[in-house]
Amino acid sequence: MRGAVSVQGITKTFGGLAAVQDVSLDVKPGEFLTLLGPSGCGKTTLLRLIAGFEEPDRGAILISGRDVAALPPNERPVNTVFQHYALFPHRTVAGNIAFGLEMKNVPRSEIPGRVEKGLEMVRLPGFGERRIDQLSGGQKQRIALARAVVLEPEVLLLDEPMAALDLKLRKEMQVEVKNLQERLKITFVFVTHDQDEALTMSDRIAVMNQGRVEQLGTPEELYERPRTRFVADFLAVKNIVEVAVESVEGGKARVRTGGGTVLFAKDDGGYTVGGKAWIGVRPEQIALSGGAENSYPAVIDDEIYLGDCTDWQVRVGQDVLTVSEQATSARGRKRGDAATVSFPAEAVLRLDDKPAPPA
Amino acid sequence: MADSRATLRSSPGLALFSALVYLFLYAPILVLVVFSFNAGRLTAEWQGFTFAWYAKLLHNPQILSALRNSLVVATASTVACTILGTAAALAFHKHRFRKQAAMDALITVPIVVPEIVLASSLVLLFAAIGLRLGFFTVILAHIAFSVSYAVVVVRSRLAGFDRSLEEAAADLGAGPWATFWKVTLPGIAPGVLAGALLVFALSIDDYVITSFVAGVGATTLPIQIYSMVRTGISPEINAVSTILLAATSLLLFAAYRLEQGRSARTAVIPIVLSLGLLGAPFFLGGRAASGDKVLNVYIWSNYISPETVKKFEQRYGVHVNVDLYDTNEAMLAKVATGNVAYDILCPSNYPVESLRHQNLLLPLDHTALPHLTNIDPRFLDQAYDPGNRYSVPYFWGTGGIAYDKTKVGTVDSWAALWDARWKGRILMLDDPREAIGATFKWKGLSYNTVDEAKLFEARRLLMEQKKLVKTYNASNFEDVLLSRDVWLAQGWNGQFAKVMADDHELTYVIPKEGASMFVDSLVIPASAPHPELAHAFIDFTLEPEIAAEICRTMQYSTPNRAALPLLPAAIRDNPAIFPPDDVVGRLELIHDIGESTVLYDRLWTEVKTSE
Repeated sequence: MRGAVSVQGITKTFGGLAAVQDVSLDVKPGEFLTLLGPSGCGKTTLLRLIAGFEEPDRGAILISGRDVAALPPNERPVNTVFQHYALFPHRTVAGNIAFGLEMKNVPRSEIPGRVEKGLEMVRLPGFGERRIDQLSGGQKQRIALARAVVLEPEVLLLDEPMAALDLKLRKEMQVEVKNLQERLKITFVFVTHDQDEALTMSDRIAVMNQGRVEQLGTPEELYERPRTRFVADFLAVKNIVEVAVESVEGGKARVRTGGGTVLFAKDDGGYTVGGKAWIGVRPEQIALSGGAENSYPAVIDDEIYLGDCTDWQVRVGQDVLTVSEQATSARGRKRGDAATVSFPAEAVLRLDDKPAPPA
Repeated sequence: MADSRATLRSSPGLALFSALVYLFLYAPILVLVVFSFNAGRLTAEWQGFTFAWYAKLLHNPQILSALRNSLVVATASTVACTILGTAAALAFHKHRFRKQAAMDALITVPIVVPEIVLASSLVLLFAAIGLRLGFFTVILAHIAFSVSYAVVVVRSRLAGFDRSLEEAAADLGAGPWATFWKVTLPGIAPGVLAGALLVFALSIDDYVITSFVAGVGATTLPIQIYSMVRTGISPEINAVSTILLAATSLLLFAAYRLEQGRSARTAVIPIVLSLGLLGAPFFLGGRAASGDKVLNVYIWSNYISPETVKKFEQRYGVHVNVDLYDTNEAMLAKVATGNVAYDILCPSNYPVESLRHQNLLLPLDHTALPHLTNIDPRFLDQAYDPGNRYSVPYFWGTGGIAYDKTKVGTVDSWAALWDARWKGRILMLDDPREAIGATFKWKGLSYNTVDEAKLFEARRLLMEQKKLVKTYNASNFEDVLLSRDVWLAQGWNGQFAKVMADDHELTYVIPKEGASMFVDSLVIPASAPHPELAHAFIDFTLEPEIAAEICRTMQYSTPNRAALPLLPAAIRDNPAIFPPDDVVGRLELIHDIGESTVLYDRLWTEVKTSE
């Protein structure tokens, strides 16, 4: 049980507004769990509830099987890496890392050794005597990590720790943090609004919206089978429309968009003939060529060059689709050109309008 | 940082402007420091380098004691305000109170309330709760007016303080107390320190409130300095100020080193030096012998020498507190509160009348004053106190003209102050009774004339004279004459006598038409806690040897006949100190003229503000 976090029916409101609504969540020992969502979705509040900076209105939190409701932050077996690092500016790097050890009454003679071990862990050996304002953003990030992990917490909480880093550094740190977690085998609860970060690092991801967890799953599950409009949208399934279901037969549903385009979708049992449904198609699963089951003539409206790939805005009848193509295959198309787009029925995801109420 | 520097360099106008601002800020301080080493008495003229004023300071127990008092008050209020202010600022920062805006406003009110209002309300409060004015009330008052500043300064620092640091500390295992000491306090330390320095500075130089709430044994440096205005501010004050400046600069420097995160060792030397300077007055000049019994004397500065006080202390085995005031009005206000414990006061003649009418004086027991017979009868039984039931003359003096005889020849009439030949070389006392009175005297009238038509005529004469007058001054007129900014000056003899000792081209005259005379007397307030000892003190000052010593050390005219033979010839034969008998007959006391005072004040303001 050491390292397990169990969030049970937690609700937290601020001035009448619910920041976290009846959330239940189990984090397994040693797991890297990410809380993903836009700002205001309640992910940071949930993290702060676990850390003890906020008190829940309702519900219980168990860490390593123990109810921590009565414990102030300084007595909980968790440590936090803060969004803006929260390093103590009046202490040196070593002084920052030593802070928690001093508070835990680690014998004085042991502290320097453990501090240096912490610095090695984040690959900054010998940085102990530096002042905080002499560090770069990435170095501060690592010191904040070291400060937390030297205390060998049962759970490490990370609040958007990379939000302030530039893209390149963020990619490096993602790998480093993930490696660190695998080495230490500590449970990580990681908060981010960056879906790429979440997909790269996590064992499981909880996508949060308006104070609730809309979907919980592994990165693969989420990527391949987003359940709701919100989760699909957040995970960059760009082509999301409402459709009318015309027929369901042979494991396929025939649906029509508001723009009049008719397409086939793999039936997951959620389509009702004569009813409405929401569907989504990932841009990278649409080809700018014929051949797949759903195939349409189209006109190129716009081009968004993204370096490693290009997003094309194409018009199919009254509908507009986003098609993503690897840069190597972008072949001198320009606006106004005619093209063909196609995608298989398996690429069409059926989405719930609202999340199912918690079981 | 680099950017702002580049901007400054690229606009020389701004750099010049900044330099001017600094010059404006620091030039006066620089002048003060330089002139604390000036051999001459005058601040206007450099007469060679000397440490003399610092040496004299070491032997001036009054200034040292005032400095001690100021430092104790400032330190106590700084410690109290820093703790209270920081705690209050933290409370405001952490909790949202109901009526937050009102609370915010209430905290800042003491900053904007006029000092005089706060001062009077504190006096009332202390009286209401039965707290005797003294040292403790000064500390309380200083805390009351400074704590808001501490709150405001610390709060502004807290506003920029990253609260997540406190959460980080808690997260790392620190409880609330450890979080405060190890994270919050170091984070806001610059603000706390700035607040402390501000409170210290406010306390060190507060005059208005202190003068209201100070009681026995609570004469601070600003009160000491103001009280010296009447008898002459000496350059020792420049020396005191320079020492204070050096000490606080060293403290600031130490704070800066610490703030920079240097090791504490680099701050040790400035801190030790600073504390050495500030602590010196506590070891120098010795503390007066302490006895069980005390006598509390409230008197003008430079009116009694420390040696004389010491003799009395030794003879009676008591401790004497000497506190100072700068105007009769300040003393009257303090005594009128009925909340001070003074045994001896030294009012001028007309305030004696006013104290008498308010029943604030104790009738004297003449059997306890056997040496009263030593007083020259010419100074006894005056209109302000018939039969000397309440007062015993202590010093007397005259208001005449001092001038440079090498420049204006011989002067024997007030008419000289209206002589067009001395245009721009004349100084008049900035005092309605003396200036208007001298005009009356010139025209053969009394200093105490209250006839309106005659007063308007006097105003006309003074307005006519104005184009000849260089300046109106009642504080350091003797220095203005000494520096020869003027050649003729109306003024009181005591101050003139001091500068005439060094400058033999100056002389002092009582004009043939007559001049004003004042008598400062010792009295015992009705509320005196030690009336017997107070009688003993008055009689002590009447003894010939003691009266002669007081006269010799303070250089004011003594009314004590028996003391005259014991005085050195230089003083006894100085016509500025002891005018000849025929001249004394031409002197007139200035009386309390009741409601006419208002008209005097109005006419005098009109003269000074006329074109």
